Amino acid sequence: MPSYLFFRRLLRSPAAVCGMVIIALLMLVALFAPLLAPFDPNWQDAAARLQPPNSQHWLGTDSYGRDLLSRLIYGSRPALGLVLLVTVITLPTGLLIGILSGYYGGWVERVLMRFTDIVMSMPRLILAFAFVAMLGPGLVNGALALALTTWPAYARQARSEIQRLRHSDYLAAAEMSGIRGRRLLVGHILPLCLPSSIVRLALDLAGIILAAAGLGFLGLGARPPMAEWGAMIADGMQVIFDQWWIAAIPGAAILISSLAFNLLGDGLRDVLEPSND
Amino acid sequence: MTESRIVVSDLNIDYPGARVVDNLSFTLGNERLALVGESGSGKSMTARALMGLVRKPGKVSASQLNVLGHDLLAMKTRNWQQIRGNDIAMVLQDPRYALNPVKNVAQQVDEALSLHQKLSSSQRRERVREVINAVGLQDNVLPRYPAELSGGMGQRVMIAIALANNPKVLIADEPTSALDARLRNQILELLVEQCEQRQMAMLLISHDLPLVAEHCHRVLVMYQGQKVDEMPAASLPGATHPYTRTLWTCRPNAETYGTMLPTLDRTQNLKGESNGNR
Amino acid sequence: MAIVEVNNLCVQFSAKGQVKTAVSAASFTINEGETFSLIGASGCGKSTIMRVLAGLQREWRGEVKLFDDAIKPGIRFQGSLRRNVQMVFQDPYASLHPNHTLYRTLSEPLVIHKERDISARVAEALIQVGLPADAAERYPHQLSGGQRQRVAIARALLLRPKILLLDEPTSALDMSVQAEILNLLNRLKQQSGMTYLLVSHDADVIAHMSDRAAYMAGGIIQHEYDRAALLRGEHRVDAA
Repeated sequence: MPSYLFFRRLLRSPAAVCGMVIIALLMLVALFAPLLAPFDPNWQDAAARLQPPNSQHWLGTDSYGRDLLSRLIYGSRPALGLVLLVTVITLPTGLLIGILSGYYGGWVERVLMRFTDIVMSMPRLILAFAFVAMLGPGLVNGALALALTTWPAYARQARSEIQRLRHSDYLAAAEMSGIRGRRLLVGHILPLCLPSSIVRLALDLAGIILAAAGLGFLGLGARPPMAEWGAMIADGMQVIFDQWWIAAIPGAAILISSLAFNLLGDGLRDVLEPSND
Repeated sequence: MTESRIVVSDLNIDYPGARVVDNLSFTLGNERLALVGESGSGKSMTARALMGLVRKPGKVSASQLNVLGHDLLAMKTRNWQQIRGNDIAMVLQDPRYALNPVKNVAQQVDEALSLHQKLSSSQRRERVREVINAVGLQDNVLPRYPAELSGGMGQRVMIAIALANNPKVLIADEPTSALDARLRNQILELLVEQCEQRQMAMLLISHDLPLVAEHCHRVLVMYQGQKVDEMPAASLPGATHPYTRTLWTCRPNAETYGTMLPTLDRTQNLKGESNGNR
Repeated sequence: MAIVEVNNLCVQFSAKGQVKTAVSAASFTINEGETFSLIGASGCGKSTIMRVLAGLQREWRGEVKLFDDAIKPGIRFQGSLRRNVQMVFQDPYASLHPNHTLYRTLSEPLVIHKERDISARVAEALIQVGLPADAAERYPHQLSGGQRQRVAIARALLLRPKILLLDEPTSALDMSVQAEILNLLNRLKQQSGMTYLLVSHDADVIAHMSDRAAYMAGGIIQHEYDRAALLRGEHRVDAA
């Protein structure tokens, strides 16, 4: 549907609006982190270790004496950076492969789909381990591993949509007008496949945030001392019974971010894929 | 004096941004009344209001909306469940979508019976067979599933389900639109026969004027939510209202070859009677 | 003069090892300037024949001549052949791209074929089918079924075809709208001298529109009817 109509409908969905607001806040926090954070996230104050929330450190301090609020704020950067990286890799790759195989069929489809099958059968975390083993730990490597295991589902979805669309009147009419090749793929087919991919992406990102936190928790993501929510939870594990907030607070941040993408995805789905009456 | 089975006065159905039914009034006695119109006329919405099937954001309002003495505006869900399928039943357009695909015919007719009547299982089996035969089907259809039935047979099953509890009013919403031309008359004749036998009133929603002229007593013509014409069905060929005339004469056939068909002048205000703001 | 000659056309589909014959040994001609119709139940092959003539169904066997030139299976229509054969589809809700304005839908064929004065041509096309020129700014979802079908007809006429293929053009429309569309089609035909191939299951529409008709069943053309036979209603007995 045309974009103006899409945005108007999206704004009517409370779930979508809620999700969008949270994500917007997240983006602002990440963007203005240096201005918002009261302390340097990596500044260790040995005297102020393991403090509960107080007037100086609003969320307390961790076992190295670092201010948790500042680390939380700065932790939004890797989270969003990861979201961006995954989106930028997954969506174009999945759509390209899916559309090409669906449209051309024949051996192009067979080759591309077998390749997709192979990648799809790789377990995400194990591939992340492999990447890290090969390239060394780091946020980008972890994000890459996640992105490269996510695109197959998009390719499959795009391909099956195109197969359905191949017999549609839209495309037959385009052919009667002489429209073919890139003009057809980009101008006619892509807009028809995009909505469901976007819905899928929003919902996937919720899970990707969790997966990234998992990698961070296992020490495969951001390298210390970088503030990353998953790594922060790992830090808090040792003292979880006494200073529970050190693990709980980044955990809450992950939950809220993931929830925001879920809500956005729900709202998008209602707008882009309305159920038939 | 024949009792009015349905009384509708000043019915309005509103959706955000549009009034789909505007100031509609009519009554239905022990007769066959047709609501005729094209898409957007509000005829289907009216039928759904009579069955309590208009959901949010649609709003139903009327000065009177009575079916068999029940005030539909004041009905709660529990009361609806008592009269739907029992006193008033509905037959829909496409059996492929209206029948439950995972239950066989016998189960679906039986379900209609057990919801409203206390009968032993052997009595129910007997009634199921009775009503299936009444709609012209053989017993061998009972174990079949909807996907195994042809369009005409599926429609007969829908009618059997509707008739199972001997309703006093039958609403048929485009019951023949999904069928081949040959079957249409057969199904309508079946409905007419059942109405006569059971002394049942029928409200037929349709866009097919010749069909309606042949099988109904009275016709009500709707356009963009309003009633624009009302007459005995036999008077349809001679109708004088511009909309009704056009609907009757705009059909193509072998004799109209080479001529331009009469069409609607949509700029003209066809809704003469009620003063709707559009 | 025969503008379309079909001889022994045979179309087979193979799916999962099974071969299905959609059309077998169909032969007919369509003369210039007439309206020729194919009647039959769904699955009889009439739409398949139409798609062969449209160049959409490129796997077939037999002889097909369009405008006195034999066409071969497997080739995509290009150039003047592509312009001369156009089609109006059945479902007005499915043939206009929902993301494109009418202007885009109507101007794209002209852009592809490197025509000039595109906005004037688009405005002219809309007016020709009874829509206001400013409707070009709208999206399909803002139009009614009848209006969309008019746009579909406008699009088909943009390249000034000699043959217009009509695939059940009014079966999704109300009766009064159908009358308007049939009138429009007949008027356009008179003005331009086009030839029509009409496919429909509605015996009345066929009888109103056609000069000649043919009844198909099981992929074979069973009877042909001339005007007199249509008037007698012979096609009605066979029609679904």
